Amino acid sequence: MNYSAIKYNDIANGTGVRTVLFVSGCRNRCKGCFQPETWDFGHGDLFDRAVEDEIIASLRSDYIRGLTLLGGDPFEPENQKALLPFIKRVAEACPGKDIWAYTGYILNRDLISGGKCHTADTDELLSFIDVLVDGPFIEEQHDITLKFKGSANQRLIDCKHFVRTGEVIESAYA
Amino acid sequence: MKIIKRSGAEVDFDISKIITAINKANNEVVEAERLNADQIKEIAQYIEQRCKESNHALNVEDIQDLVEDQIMDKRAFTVARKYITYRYKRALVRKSNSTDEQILSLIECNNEEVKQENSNKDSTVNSVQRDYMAGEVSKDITKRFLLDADIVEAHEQGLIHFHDADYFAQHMHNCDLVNLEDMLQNGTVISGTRIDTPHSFSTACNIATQIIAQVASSQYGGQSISLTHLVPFVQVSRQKIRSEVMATMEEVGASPDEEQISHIVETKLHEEIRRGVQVLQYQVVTLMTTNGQSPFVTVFMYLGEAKNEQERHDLALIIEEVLEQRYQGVKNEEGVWVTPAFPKLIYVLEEDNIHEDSTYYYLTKLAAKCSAKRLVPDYISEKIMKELKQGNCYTCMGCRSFLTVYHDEEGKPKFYGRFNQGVVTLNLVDVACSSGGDFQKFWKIFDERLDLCYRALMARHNRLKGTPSDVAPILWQHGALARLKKGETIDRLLYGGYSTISLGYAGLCECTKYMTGKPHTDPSATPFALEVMQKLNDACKIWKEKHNIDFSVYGTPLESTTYKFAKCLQKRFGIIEGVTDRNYITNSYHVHVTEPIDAFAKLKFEAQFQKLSPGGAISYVEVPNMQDNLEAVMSLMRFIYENIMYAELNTKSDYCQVCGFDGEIQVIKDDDGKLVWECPRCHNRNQDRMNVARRTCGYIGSQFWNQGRTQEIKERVLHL
Repeated sequence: MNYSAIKYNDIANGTGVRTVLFVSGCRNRCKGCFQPETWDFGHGDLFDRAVEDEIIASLRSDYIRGLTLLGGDPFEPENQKALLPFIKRVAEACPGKDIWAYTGYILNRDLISGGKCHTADTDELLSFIDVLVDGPFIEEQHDITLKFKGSANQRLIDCKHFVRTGEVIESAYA
Repeated sequence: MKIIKRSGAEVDFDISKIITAINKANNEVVEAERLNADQIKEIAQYIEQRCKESNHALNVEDIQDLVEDQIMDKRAFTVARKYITYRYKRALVRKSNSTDEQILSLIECNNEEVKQENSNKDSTVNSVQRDYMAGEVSKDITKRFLLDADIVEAHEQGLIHFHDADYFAQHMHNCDLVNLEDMLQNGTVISGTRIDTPHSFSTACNIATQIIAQVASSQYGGQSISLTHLVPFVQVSRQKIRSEVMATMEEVGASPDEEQISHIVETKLHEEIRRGVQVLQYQVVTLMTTNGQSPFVTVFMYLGEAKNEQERHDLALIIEEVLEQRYQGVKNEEGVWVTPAFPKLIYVLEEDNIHEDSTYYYLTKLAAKCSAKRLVPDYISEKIMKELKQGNCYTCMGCRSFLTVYHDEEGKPKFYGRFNQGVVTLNLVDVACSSGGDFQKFWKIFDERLDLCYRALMARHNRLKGTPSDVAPILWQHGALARLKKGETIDRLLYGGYSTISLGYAGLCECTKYMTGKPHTDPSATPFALEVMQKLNDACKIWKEKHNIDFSVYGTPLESTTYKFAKCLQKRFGIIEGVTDRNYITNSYHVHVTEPIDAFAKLKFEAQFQKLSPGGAISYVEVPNMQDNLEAVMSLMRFIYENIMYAELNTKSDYCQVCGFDGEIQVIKDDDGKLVWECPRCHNRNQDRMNVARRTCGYIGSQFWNQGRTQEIKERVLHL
């Protein structure tokens, strides 16, 4: 997997001060996407162990609340495969930090068994995520005043609750 | 036919003026040597002819030359001599009266310099103009009589800045911590009227605002008051309300239980607190002092000052109300809630409110919400301050001037009632550029400039020496700062550390860049920057020992002076990249506004310099609108608590009246290359239909800014 950028000390993509990883590769191709260059799976640099170490080091600061996976789309099947071992490392090395993820897919349609992006890794990956922001970016529903999302159709989902019960409820941070 | 006056204005040629002028000279000589009326007419007509023939309008000086030539042509040499002498005398008079034009231009609102001097003053308002007129006279007197010529020259060339010359003619000090406790508990006198101890919280607030107004009019700098001094009146009101409630109940024959009574009393008490706090907020922003502005007042909110648990509880009630009301804002002319500039609020982060399980954590959360929307409160870390100030925690005086620690006759630390004598600022960038990059030369020039500052500061001190307490009774006689007798001088308060005097500095960032080729954040350049700071402190120490006056190093908040310094530097050294290429220089030890650095790294880096700026300094972080992410604000506050004594957040919470957008209104370039403000949602660019508040050099402004400052705002790098 390649990644396009890492943003340290970000406050726009999840609650608190966070490290944000923008992975490369996205097939959603939403109209008006704020960074279409990241659609290309080959964009940016290789996501290797050294990059992982750097992110984990950043998460160790007291003032960093957690990690946000952004894209591209972290839930493209090949990205899920690369992210799962990394997220496991994060969970182990940085207890107490929360994990947010953004996807253009719909959780209870595309990421569940039988869905177009459901893979052998999906269920486990989801189990590590606290808040999932799902749904494509719809330019007509774009509003800069929305909290932690780009268009009104997108949802901030309590992912832990979903993994436990299969029910989609809004996150407390919405 | 036109001629050009000295001021540049064109006026119609008037032959009678020439005749009058020649007549004046003519009448002063003996009759035998005079010109006759025909000769004078001939001269005047000749001049008229020459003006007509000229292909451009002649100016007054050209015409004077022609008149002289013509008088001599008529061989009336004595008249010519008189005429020339008279002309020369007039020129002298014009030169010596240097304030006239300044004053006239400010009255007609054409004085750009004055307009941009202070973002809290509106120079079109009559009362502000009166203050400015007095200021021009004071500046003139200061330059011509009160300061040594070399200090005036250094000030004019921008080597140093002699602050507040517009008040220097009078015997005024800078800023202070008002001893409100003494005034409220022991009574005071305002404008000759005796004011006794108040009998309710709201009355105490009312008196406090009267005191603030009087104090502000008696000095030129800021002042701070502590909410702790109002706390005892919460209990006074509680008891008063309780007895009223009991009386009413008795009257109607009701017998409620204790819990019910308490409930009624506390509800009414809260209403009383709300009323008092509202008085404080609205009075302060609506007051106009004789300095032509709202009083620069800071309200200090520190639970650690409470004397017991009851007081701490009551203080928390007041702090909560202050924060709630500030969060709401004040209404502007259009009825829209906006961010008021005053009073500035300072909230102390302490063990009792910083951790999630702390008793008063809810207050800190409220403070975070308030800062995100209204830019204040600013934050003091009790933990770090106690490390730096011998176990003490106290507020700055108004903006950022901090007192040194001082113990009274009983050996107790004393802060309220103390003051600062004044400031002179050293332009570090000029020292660097003057040295040409040679370190040996740098330190030599540094010492020379310090000597100038020292003498300028002593001039400040000497101006206060011998001042009778009568110049400001509220300050010196009635408790704000002291209770001296009538006619007694303030001299003893100037020594022994009771008051401080400040050696300001500016442009450490550009100075280091010039000398080392790197910004002071670069690890190879940081030691040099720290050495500069240390040497400033060393100088203060020597001066202090010599005079028993508390000299202290101060991170000056330059407002218009940042432009003055930048302009002077460009004039003296031309454009040097990264050093003199902006129309501002960086305040104090701050990291350059265009340098990318994250908030935490910045605060951590700057903390080591703040430590070396004991006379005062504040660090800030530039952040986007954070109202949707208060958790992140809390992270910053926890970081401040652990790492830096005094810091603030430059948040952006603007308001577009057209679409109701509540967030950051942006600076963009319009089609003509002019910088304009635009709502990112509805693209409204009408400044009258939006509210923008930004902190510039430590002060909150909301009146919009000139292009230079707007550019600086646009160039600011976000630290989160």
